[in-house]
Parts: sequence; C-alpha cells; structure tokens
Amino acid sequence: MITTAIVTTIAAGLAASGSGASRTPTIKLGHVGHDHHLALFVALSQGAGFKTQTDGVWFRQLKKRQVYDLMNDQVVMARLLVSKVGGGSGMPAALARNEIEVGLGGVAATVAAIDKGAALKIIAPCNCDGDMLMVRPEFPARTWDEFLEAVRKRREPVRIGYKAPRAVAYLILMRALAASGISYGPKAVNAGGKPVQVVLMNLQKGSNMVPSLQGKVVNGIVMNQPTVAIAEVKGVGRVIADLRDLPPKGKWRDHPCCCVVATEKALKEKRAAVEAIVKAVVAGGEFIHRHRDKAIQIASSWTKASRQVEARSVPTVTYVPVPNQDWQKGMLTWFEMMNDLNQFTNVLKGMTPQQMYRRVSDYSLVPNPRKAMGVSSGK
Amino acid sequence: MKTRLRIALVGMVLPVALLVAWHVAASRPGEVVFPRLASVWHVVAHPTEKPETIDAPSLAFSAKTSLLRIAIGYVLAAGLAIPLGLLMGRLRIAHEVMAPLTTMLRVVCPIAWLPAAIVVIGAASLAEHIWGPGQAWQHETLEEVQPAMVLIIAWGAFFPILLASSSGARSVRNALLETAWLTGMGRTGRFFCVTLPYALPSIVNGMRIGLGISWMVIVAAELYPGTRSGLGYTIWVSHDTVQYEYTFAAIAYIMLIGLILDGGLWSLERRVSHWQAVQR
Repeated sequence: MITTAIVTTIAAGLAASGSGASRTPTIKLGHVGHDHHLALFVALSQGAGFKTQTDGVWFRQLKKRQVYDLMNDQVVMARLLVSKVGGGSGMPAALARNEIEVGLGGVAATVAAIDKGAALKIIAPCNCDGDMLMVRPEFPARTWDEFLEAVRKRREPVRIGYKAPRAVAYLILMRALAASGISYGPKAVNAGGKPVQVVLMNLQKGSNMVPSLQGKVVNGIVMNQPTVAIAEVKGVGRVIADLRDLPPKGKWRDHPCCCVVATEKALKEKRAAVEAIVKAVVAGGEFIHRHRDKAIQIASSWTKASRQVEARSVPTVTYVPVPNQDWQKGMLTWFEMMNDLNQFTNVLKGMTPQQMYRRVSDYSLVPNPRKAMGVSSGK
Repeated sequence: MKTRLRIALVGMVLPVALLVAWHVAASRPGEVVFPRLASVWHVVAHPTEKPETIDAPSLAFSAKTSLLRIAIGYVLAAGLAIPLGLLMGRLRIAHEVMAPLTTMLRVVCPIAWLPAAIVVIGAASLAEHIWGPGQAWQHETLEEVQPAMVLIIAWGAFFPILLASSSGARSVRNALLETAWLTGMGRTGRFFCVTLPYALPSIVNGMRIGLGISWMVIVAAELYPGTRSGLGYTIWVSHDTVQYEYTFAAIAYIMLIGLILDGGLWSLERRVSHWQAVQR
C-alpha cells in the first residue's frame, strides 16, 4: 500500500512538472522492421532534402528511429511516434488495439483483421514479392522442379517451415503444392490416415527460421526477406525458388505482400497527417527505384542486417509506390485464394473479390491516382 | 584455507566443462547459433558500446532498464505480499478468504497474462502516462518502463513472497506469544517483537525466490509491444537478426546480476536468521 502511495505521489508530481508540455498532435506509426518497409525508412532518413519530392512533406528527426516531427515545409503537422510492432500479422492487431494509428504490414493479415471487424483501411501499397523457398544446403534440389522431384522420390515427408498461419509465403506455397499435385499437411499423415509428401511446420516466428534450418528441424523454409538473405549469407540455406514464379504459372507474379494501413478513426480525425505520411512513403518507394545503392545502405542501417545481406535482399523485393494495375490484380488473387481457403467468416463473407477490394481499401490519399494506374511496379 | 580452495576448484569443474563444450560446438564448420567465446566475451567486456548489428541500445543501458523494471515490480510485489501474507498467517479469517483465490492464481505463469495485459493496460510507458505521448521521448528512463510489464514482473514475485510471509507468520510458536503476553506486551508489541522477527527468515527466503522468478519473467516480459531496451529485449532482437553473441552476452549479464542480487538477499537472510542456528 505504501509503495502504491509513493508511486502515485511521484507520478502526480512528475505530471504536474510536465504540465507545460506542447500540444502538438501525435500520430503513432508501426512497422515490422524488415526491408519490405524500406520506403518508410527512406522517407524517415532523408530529412528536409526530401520535401522537393513530396510537395513539402518531410520528417525532422528528434530521436533516431523513434520520434520525428512530421513537417509541411517549416510547419509542424504532427509528432510522429515510430515503433516496431511484431511481425506482419502483428501490425493489424496493434492497429485494432489502438497501439498505433498507421502501420505497415502484411496484406493477408490486414484483410483477415478487417473481416473480423477491425475498422481499418489499406491506404497505400508497400511491396510485392520478396518471398522465397529455401532448403538446407545438402537438399538435392536447385529449382522448383527438382524440389518436386525430390519430394516425390523421398520415402519420408519433406518438412518445410513457415512463420505464421497467415504469412503470405505460406499461403502461396500451399497453393503451389496443390497445383503441382503434392499432398501436404501439418502432420506426417492427413486426417484420413494417408501419409503426406510435405509437412508444413509452423515455426511461430521468423527468427526461428535460421536455427531451425541449422538444427535440421526442417528441410527448408518459406520466408520473406531479409531472413532468407541472412540464412544464405550464414550458409545454412539455399534459395531454390522465388515464390512469384511458383505455379499456377503467372498467378503469384507481383503478389502483394505488405501495405500501408490506417485506422478509420485516424483517417477521419488526422486525415492531413495520414495523407502526408502516404505522400512520404510513396516518394520513398520511388526513391528506392532511382537510388538502389543508397536504399540498400538505408535498409542496412534500419534492419541492422549487413550490407551484404541487404544487397541480396532488396533487389528481390518489388517496391510498389502506388496502387497500379498489377497491385489490384494481385489483391484480387488474394481475395479469391483466401475465399477458397474459407478464411472469411464475417464482414467479407459472401462478397465478390471486387467488392472486397473496395471494402478494404481507400487509396484516395495516394498522390496522382491517375499516374498511379499507369506506373509499373518496376522491379 | 586448503578446504576452501578445494571447494572452489570443485565448483569450477562444471562451468569449465560447459565452456569447453561450447568452444567445441562453436568451432564446428558452418555453426551459426553458437558464436565463438571470444566474440561473446568482446560484447560482455564492452557493455557501454552500442551494438552495430542489432537494433538495441548498449548492454549497460539494457541492464539498467531491466533492473529498473524489476526494481519497481519487485518493490510493488513485496510491498503488497508481505503485509498480506502476515495477515493470512496470523488471522484465520484472512487465510480462509484469500487462500482459495491465491492458490488458483499462483499457478498461472505470469507470461500467460501478457495478452490480457496488452488489451487491458496497453503499451504506453510510464513517461507517456505522465507527460503525454508527444513528450515522453524526452524522458529516456521512464519511457522504457511500461506499467503492464512491471505488473507482470510483480505478479511473478508476489506469490512466493506471499506464501513465505504467510507460512513464516503461521509458524510462530504459541509459547513465545504467550510469554510476551504474560510480560504485558500488547498486540502491536507482540507483532513487531515476536511475530515479525520470527517470520523474517521465511519472508527473506520468499523474497529470494521471488527475485529469481522476476529475472526469469523479464526475458519474456520484454517481448511486450513497444519495448526498445532491456536484457530480455536484447535476447529477442539478436535472435531476430541471428546475432547470437548478443544473446549469450545478455544471458551472461542476467546470470551475473541475478547472482549479485541473490547474494545480497542471501547475506540478509543469514543476518536475520542467525538466531535459528542458535536455537537448533
């Protein structure tokens, strides 16, 4: 009791001393910390020099990687509080809990959260692709076809790890295996008691991938960058397929991976600040296409992965500054696939892919929407 | 002197064997998870150096943050558990009311409350509660202290201290209390001069166990959303980027600090329980 009283008194005293704090509005932004969100990292790293590309929007750094003033030329629009919020599927959860107001994270997880009733909107694309199938060095395959052949020849099932049930890479692999006539499941035998050819293991977190590969827990993984590049550099795995090239042929090319999402509340109450963030992220995406080396350097400084890792990783990711036709086509594919897997149970249930696209997204804040539809993804 | 040396040497056998095994494991070609001892030592020996390859502050700053979180949580736990435990130990009605609930709650691992804490308490730091989100960043130390995380740590320490305090108070011999009463000592006097000193060794023992659990809990508690520093955080973030020299260096610091703190409580326990040896 005494402790509680002391803590309360100290808190009240400190609060009183801080009562003169400025009234700058704040906006909380979350990212996942990997290089799929490089467009944001670029925007945050560029300082005042960036405003020529964003109609005056730039970020004034107060505390590196954490606190920035969102500026419109010389006027402070809002104080931006930046934080890392778990994996790509953790981002929509953080938005739904109001821990953040704008976030960058996985498309599939965001759509699933909206289906459950979270008041969120996808407000800009972020990236496509950047997901790979990787196997241990001694695994007898160097391509997808060789992988299928090896799977068919083996007596025991091949174990492939993934990071989360709504991870983009996992969803694609399942469909690609089905399209190739390979049986798969979470256990060595399926519900009917028949053995499967590929066991898909939930390794719970991206960070468990490399130790699991090294410890022979799995024969391979499906994972996004830069984990794949880290595993390659460390010598514990070898990429045998970019998931964009898996069957059905052409279906996964430019598959949307991460997007920019905002709460409907933030869109209503802090629209100008959210719009400024979108402008900056779009400009960040365009910067990556124009200045690849500089972007790799920024990626390395934000993710803390080595330059060597980022030099392998960044070129495999397609940064999409604006919602072009490829993005829209990819989104519709996602809706179809998630629908086939019975993943919609609430808000999006029974809608057509086009209806879902309109329901989950609001790209009105993206600058130059007409230009947007004409810009290619530019991998 | 010879006996002490022998004991010290025998005590070193297992740690040295462990280090040799580690060295062998780390020397295997293609080893990723076990870093070389030299690289771990480099990190341990430079605690104020900001890591280049992981998104975390220096180990010294992280150790300070973890200690602060534990200190607040632990003081909160002890401040509540000791009086409540003494009450349960001496008042039958208090024991009857609280025992069923505490028995149910104490078996729940503190980490199990993490999701509930995120939803109910949120991820805001103490600094954010005091100065608001826009100004919190200027108060580096309190910005790292999240009430929810502190409560999870407090939960871990609370029950061992509560049970030990209750059991210590219950074990006071009636003969002692009756003697004190016969000498004219009042209720308060009997509590401070008989019950509390008698229960103290048990309370301190419970505090030692509680402290150990707090250190165990901190590693998982620092997975809490919005965490940016701490020894547990360093372990997780280095695991994310496969920089295991930081993982093991943080583990080494947890062991070292745990040892020092436990040593302090152990010497306190010896001091307050010296009469037990005399009695035996």
